Amino acid sequence: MMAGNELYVATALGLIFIGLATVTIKRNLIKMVIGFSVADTGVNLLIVALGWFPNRTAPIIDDPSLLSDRATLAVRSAAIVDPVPQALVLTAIVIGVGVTALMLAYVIRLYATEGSLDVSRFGRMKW
Amino acid sequence: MVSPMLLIAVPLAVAFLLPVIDHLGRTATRVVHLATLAFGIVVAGDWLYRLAGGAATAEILTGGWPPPFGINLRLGTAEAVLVLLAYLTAFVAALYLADREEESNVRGTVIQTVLVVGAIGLIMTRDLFNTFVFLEISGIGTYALVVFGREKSGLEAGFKYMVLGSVASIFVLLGVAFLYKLTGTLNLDDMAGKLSQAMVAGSGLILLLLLVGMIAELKLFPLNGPAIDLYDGAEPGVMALLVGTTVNAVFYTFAKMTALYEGSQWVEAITVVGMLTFVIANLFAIRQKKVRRMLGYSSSAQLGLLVFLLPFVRSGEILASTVGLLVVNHTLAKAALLWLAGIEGNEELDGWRGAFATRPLLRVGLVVAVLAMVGLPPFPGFWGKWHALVGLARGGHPWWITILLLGSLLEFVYYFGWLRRVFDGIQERAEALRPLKWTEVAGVVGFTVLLFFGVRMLGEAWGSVAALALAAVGVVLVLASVIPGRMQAAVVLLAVAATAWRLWGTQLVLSDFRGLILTVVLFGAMVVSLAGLGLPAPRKSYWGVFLILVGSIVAMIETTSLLGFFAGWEIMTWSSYLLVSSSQKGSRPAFLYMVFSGGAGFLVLGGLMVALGGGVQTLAGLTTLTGAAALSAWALLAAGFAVKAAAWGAHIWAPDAYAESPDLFTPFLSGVISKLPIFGLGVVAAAIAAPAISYLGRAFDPTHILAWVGGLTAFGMTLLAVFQEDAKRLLAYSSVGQVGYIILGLAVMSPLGWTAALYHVVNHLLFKGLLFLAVAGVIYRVGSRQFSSMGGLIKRMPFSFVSVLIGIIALAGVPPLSGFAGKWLLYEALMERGWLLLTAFMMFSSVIAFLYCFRLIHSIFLGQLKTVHRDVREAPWPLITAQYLLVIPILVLSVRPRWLLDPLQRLVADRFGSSTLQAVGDNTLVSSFGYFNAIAILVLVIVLFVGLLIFLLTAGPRAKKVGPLDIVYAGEVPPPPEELHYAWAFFRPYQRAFQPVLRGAVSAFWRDVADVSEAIADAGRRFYTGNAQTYVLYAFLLVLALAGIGLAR
Amino acid sequence: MKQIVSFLALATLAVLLWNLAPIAMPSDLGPVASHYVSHGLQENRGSNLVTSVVVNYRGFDTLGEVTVLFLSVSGVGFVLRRRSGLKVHRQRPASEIITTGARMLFAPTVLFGAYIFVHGHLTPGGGFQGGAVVASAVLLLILADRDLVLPHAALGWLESLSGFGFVLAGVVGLVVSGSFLANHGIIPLGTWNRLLSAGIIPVIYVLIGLKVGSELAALLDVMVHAADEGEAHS
Repeated sequence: MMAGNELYVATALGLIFIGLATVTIKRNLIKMVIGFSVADTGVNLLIVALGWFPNRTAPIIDDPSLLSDRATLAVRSAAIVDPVPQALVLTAIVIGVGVTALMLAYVIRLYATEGSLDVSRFGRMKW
Repeated sequence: MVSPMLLIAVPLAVAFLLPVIDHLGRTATRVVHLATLAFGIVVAGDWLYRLAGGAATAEILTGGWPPPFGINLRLGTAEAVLVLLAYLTAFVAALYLADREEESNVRGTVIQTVLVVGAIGLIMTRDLFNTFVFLEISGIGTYALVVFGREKSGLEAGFKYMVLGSVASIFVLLGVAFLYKLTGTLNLDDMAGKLSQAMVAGSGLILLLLLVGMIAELKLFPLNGPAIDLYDGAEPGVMALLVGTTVNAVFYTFAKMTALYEGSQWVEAITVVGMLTFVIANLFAIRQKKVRRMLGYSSSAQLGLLVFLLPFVRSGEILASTVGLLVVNHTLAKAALLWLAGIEGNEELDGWRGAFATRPLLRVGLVVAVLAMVGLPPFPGFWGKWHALVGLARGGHPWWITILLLGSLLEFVYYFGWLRRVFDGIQERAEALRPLKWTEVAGVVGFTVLLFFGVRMLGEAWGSVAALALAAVGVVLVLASVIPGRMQAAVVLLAVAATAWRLWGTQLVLSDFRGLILTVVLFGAMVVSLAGLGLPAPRKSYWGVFLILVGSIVAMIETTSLLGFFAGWEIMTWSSYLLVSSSQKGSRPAFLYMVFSGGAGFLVLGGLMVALGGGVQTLAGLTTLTGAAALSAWALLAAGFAVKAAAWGAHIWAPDAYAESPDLFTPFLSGVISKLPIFGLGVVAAAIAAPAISYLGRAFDPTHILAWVGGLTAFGMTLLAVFQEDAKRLLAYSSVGQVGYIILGLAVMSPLGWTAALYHVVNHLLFKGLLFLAVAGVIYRVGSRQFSSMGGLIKRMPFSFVSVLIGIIALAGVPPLSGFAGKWLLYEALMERGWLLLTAFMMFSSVIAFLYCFRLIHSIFLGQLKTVHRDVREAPWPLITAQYLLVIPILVLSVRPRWLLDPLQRLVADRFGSSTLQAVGDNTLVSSFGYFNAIAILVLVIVLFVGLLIFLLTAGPRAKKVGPLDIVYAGEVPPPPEELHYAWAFFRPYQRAFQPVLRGAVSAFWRDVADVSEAIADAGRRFYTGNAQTYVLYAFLLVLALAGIGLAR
Repeated sequence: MKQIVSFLALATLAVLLWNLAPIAMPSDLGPVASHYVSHGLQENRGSNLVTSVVVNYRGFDTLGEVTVLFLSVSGVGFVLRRRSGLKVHRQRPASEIITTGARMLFAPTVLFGAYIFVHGHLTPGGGFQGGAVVASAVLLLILADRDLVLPHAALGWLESLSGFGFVLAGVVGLVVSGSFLANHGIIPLGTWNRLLSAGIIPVIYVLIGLKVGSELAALLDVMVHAADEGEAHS
């Protein structure tokens, strides 16, 4: 049934959709930040899903004989998921953390200067 | 040779260490920071030098593995330029920002450093995911730094920017991840190769996600709202830093990404979005009242232009170095403008009235940066734009050229609108200003100086040593403002005289058209600078700019290439603009002058592009154009020159510009500058005209249209001149009208017509220069330009009276002076061509000309002397000398017209064969319609007038002398004093008669054009609602819209 | 109105993106990934291929990643450098359970975090994960005691020197084998599956762990103290 990764992709798209909908529809700044977090999670899930293969293991090699035995290695490499998306997602997560932290800092200062968390209050600069 | 890797590693290591270094004190932090940036400048500069010298592009591996397994970076010439630019900007920005916050914070310094690292990483990396990481570094650095200095507005703008930026990075990340899945690689070059093979269903959508993300990062329409807010809200110094680092880096990143888009359906989308941004952002900018917001729109527009060009770079139609010139130009000029905005501090455009009045260096910097920004020579942007346009022309994209030039014209409107305010109230503002630190101005000075590297290309394009030398002396004079004005005038006189001496015998002979115009120019310049010995300079930089102007004209005439010609033309335009604006009320007319001249310039440019698209490089090569290309080139060039000559329909700039420009400059403007479009028409347009006519046949003769334009100009302006109450305005209208006669003469396209036109060119210089100089002297002594405040000056200023008398007789085209020969030739030419209606029309307007000519004598010199003028003295001697330098040739030509006509006929014969005009003896001309003997007419007129004088003196009652107060009011309440003047509303009855013609339909038309564009801009800019969520929505809609268009194909 | 348009636009977008699902389906490893799988062990001698990619093959990304974190912590500190305009009510002291629990868990959590980043080349996890765990220990302490003052100077030094160390490790690679962050010829690759193996990878990962841990801790500290302490109201 789950030969493909439709479930992961669908979940990821769903998370992105929920996150971005929150960002565009909710007027509370903190909820917007949460929306970004959710959407980021969706993107991260999608990236990992892109490297996922059914019935394969994590890219950690636990057999020292592989060091010398290329033939076995070739076989084993067919049983390992793609390590690259996992490395990428690590970076993406950290970047997400950084942006979220900065956004929250902004929200703190915006609230301090305006006394409100309503996004529509921050539109003085326009046209 | 230092490894390019250190360009990233060193500042990064320093950034990590800065918080610790800060324990040693803030000074230590600053020194280390600046030293790091200086290290970067040296290393990047060294690399650039080597690469330019032919060294191989540096390929840098990381992790010890070649691509695509390890991340690799590249440092070629383009990268080296951008890296150097980033370090330079960061260095100067660090100086500028150091004292901008009361409580400096080491974190601010850290962020500045990392921002540079992010930009350099973006520039050098060849890996797509690595690009994403550096995009995020640049983004986060931007978000963090925009609260510098101005917290509240910075926070608001920064938040919106961050929201859209985060959405953009989601799109980019999705795009990158899917591209990896699709191609199995993250290396950009590897991916581009694989992608072209792996184009599967869905790859278009992936590329679209990446594209929309990049559109937001690049601040292109419609996703540029938050970025513009950022310019509005953040400290300008921070924005200057961003322009030099992040903005360029993101652009270069996108340039690298275009490799992925090759062959996809999005190439057109990139072109369209880029150009749309350029036009729309420039359009919205004209309605801006806030300086920094305006600069934001401008930045967006510039980026749009750059992005627009990228697909053409990929296809090889435009060189990458061309885009590079535009990038460098934008960075230097925009950063300088932002720093200036920060130093001035005023947010409102109207608050800039008289800005930097007491800081000439900053004012020069502002002017240079604006000139560079709008793409005028000699600054790099001009060369970039030119080569880009040539590429487009060769590639056969006339519509893109048209739109690009329209957008550029909008740029003119708001940038020169800004300068208009700065020049406004130049005298008013001199309040005490806070002292400036050198660290604040270092950027402005440094970057404006760097902009002058474009002079190198100017030298190549011109190839004229004399012109460059003149311009160089001019620049020195601009900077040496301590030298008193009259001494500067003397320097100018010497410099022009030296040029004339050097060119004597080579170009300065009347053997060809160029020689004629060159003679006119140099002679005019000498006369005016001689007059300048007697009048105060209107502005300290006046004579320096004047010399630049003369240099540019010399170059324009001497050069043989189209590029050299146009570069000279544009420098002539901006330098004369600066001179017009240098009088007290000159800023507004100068603005109008510049906008119309800009439009004229773009029309000319369009015409030249048609020619270049047809493979023509030189002015002489224009004759080879045929068919539709010939006609469109001819039409565009003729239209451009007609606008610049203030032909009817586009004349509204001229009267004010002539009247309000400094009295010293008007003679030159009228006598010389107005002849340059004639030079253009003569050399350039006429070279193409002949094939165009045969192409269209007699049914649609383009020269006939030009002739009517000239005729209408001559008639309309003459009519308007009659009703002026202001001596200079009267002469202004008259000047434009006279140029109309010249255009008409050229349009006849016969030897006789051309002889008449060229004869009139010389003649007009002589008598109009004379009249303007004489009037300048009167204005200088009387202090007013109004006829109603003059009168009876014949006794006080007899020499000026004689000048004016000779001037108007020549101007009116009546015997016995030289003007008559010109008119006579013109009528002959018109009749010969068979344009009888035009002939009659011209004769009629010649009669009208008597009416205003008469007023110059009558209202200024005759009648009652005002009591306040009893002690008025004759004009200063240099002015009188200058006038009589013009009187002598008028008299000589009157007696011996053949001294000029013969060489003119010879040079006309080069083009048309010999004319029907024949000379008999020394002073008789015979044409197919009759003959003309100058001496006989002279004698006849003298006899007639002397007879009349004797009759008046002997016969009839003697005239009675009345005093100034000898007026009877007869019980009426006296109206305002000027209306009591005998010369007030002298031609009121005629004015009533001509009322329908004079209603000013043309001005109304142009006002409507301005109003409509402003209304569109005003309605359009409401698109940027200021709401962060709306901006995000635009991003979604853009994806959908592009998907709808692009994926359907 | 705008909400409806946004919702519809997003829904359409989601449907559009679903078209990408076929591309997302599993397929064979790409050429680069295959190379990592087949050569990763020889070239870096680390069991955890993800770590090989993160620290060596794509180590430059990771340096950027560390930079992002460093930058955002600096950014948060910079944005929050002013405290005016915001008052928070003084919190009630944490409950006994939390205080005691935090004190108990702190040391094991730090140790666990350290274990994760020290073994990054062998087992799942690494510098970022370990650093995050360490920072969570600090968070526990802060939750237990809002008035806790972290040793800023020490954290600052740790943060700066570990970051500097990472760059230095890269430059050593540049000097020794001509490539930034290279992993040959600097430290012997060692025996497979030992703690001291995989060359410079564990060194870098430890530095990253320290940096991430200290940075996240500093971040928490800045955020907690972003506002002026107001008067206590019960």
